[in-house]
Amino acid sequence: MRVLVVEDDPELARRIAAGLEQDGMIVETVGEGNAASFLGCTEDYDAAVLDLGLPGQDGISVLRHWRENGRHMPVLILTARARWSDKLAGFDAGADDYLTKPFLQEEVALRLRVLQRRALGHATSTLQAGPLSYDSTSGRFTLDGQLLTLTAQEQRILAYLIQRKGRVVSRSEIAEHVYARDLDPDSNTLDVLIGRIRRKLVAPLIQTERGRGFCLTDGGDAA
Amino acid sequence: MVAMPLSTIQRAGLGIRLFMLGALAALLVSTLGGWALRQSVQTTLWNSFEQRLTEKAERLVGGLNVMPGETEVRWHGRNNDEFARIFSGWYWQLESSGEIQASRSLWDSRLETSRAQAVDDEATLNRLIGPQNLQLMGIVRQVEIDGYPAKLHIYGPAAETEVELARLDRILLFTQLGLVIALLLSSLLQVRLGLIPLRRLRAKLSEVRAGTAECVGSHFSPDLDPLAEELDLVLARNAKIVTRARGHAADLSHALKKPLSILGADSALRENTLLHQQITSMSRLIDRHLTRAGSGAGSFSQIAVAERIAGLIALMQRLHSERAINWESRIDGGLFWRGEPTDFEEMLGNLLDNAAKWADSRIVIEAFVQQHELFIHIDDDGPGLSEAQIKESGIRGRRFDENVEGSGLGLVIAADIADTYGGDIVLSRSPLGGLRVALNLPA
Repeated sequence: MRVLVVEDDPELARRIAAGLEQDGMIVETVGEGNAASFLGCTEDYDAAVLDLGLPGQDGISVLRHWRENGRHMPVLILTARARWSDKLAGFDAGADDYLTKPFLQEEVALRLRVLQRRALGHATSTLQAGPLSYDSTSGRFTLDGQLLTLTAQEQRILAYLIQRKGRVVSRSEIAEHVYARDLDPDSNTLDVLIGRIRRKLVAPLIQTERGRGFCLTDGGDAA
Repeated sequence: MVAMPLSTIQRAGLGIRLFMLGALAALLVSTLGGWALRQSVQTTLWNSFEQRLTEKAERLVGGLNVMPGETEVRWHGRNNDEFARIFSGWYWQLESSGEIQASRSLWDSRLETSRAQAVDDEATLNRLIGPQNLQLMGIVRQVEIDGYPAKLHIYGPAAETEVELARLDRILLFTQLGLVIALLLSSLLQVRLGLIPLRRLRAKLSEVRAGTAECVGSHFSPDLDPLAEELDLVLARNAKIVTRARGHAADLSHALKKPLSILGADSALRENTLLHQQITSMSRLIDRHLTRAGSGAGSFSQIAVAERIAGLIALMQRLHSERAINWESRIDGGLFWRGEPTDFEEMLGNLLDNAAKWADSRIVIEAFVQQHELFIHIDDDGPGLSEAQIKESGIRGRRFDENVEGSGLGLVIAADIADTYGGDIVLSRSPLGGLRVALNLPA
């Protein structure tokens, strides 16, 4: 899950990013409104955490600009402004959730996961693919009811695939949303990681679509 | 004794002061004018009477002579005029060397001329009591006939001038009374007309206070326009100070929340429950005081109650989407309240959020105006508070305050803002089974 954190306080931005990365998310931070406005329109993020009091351009304007340019990623406003008029303005501008400072780091990650789940059209927090089960709230995988041990990178790839079950996901898309921006999608790192995940899943749930990417299924076709 | 009326006058309003001054001037002018007029007429009447007496005296002197061999001046005139009719009121009396002679009209009585008194310091007319206790006025003439001196006293009825003066007094009384009433009415009218610009200024100030006008403006009167200008300058200065103070409060709030957020996000400190509680408590205090600092100080406008609450309900439905709550708003679309929109949203946002947290499945919002007061009732079907709990908390029937334990920050903030507008919040048992929060605001 690739998240843009827009926060003008460097220390707070660093801590939010650290907390989200610890939770398995790929985080980019920006501390200025105009830069945030540009990044949100040009890069493909799964979600954004947006402060309202920003230098250059305030958060509400940034959000409006994103929405006007067709950027529909879930946005969590994270601000010190606790007045209901600010919340109304935030939601009117296109926010999906609103959290006031000070906040619990876990709550930011939890809300982002819920927002992403809703954005992908999943009604519940538990996603199923054959014997594989994923709890999007805790971020844990189970296989036939047993906890599946995965590395952070493996967990990110599998979570991205199960959230898009039945859809072919390109290598570049995975690279962009699961890795930092500097990863070369043509490198064989991704193949190595997919291979490891396949071995852990045992069942052939991940299909390779030559020249197109990967697709996670319930495993019925292979069986 | 002197201090009392002075202090009363000092406490009196501008209108009363001006009216009293006008009334005093009217009374003074009418009294002095009336007195001068009466004096003038009285002098004229007395001069006229004296003239008549002088003419009669000249006629009587013509009948005086001294008989040969005598030393006494005697009257030998004709006896067929007013001096001949007994007790006619017209008398003469001649005092010579011999016996006092008198007109036939005196019959056997005599005038006590020694008791005669001048009518005033400058006049030659005398006044005395004549026969039948009639008031007489007359003159005295020193005459000398053939070298023999004599004093001739001629008196006539004072009633002739007294009647005229009494008639004049009556006329003066009525005309002066009319004049005084006219002057008092004129004074009252002047005060009322004169104070119209002041009343307009006061009305404009009330509009500024109520938020329906931005400033006092001008065009009251050339005298009051400088005052209105000064008032606007003071208001503008105050507004600037308030805006600056609100800005500082907001800056301080944000400045304090940043380090609190950093502390809250620190993984090393996250396990410290006490620290987390203190951070939350500090943040709530900041929110509350920031709201209190800003409430009621912004621009007022007409707020469509139903529309505003519908917007907030939509927001609540998003924020509490995980809970299946049926929101029901029973508010007339034509209901308006005048105030600061952000304050209205803050009050209702907190109250609706509080209801959403506690409701089981249903929240009903009603609003109506009664006796210049806007009532907004928010009912939920949650656990609510029992009558005993409400009584114990001491909330019902009085203004909500920060000493109420367990009432929730949202309610306290809403109560703080309502208090700024002279309103209050009352908690009671809801017909839905939960809590009814009644927000009352001056409409």
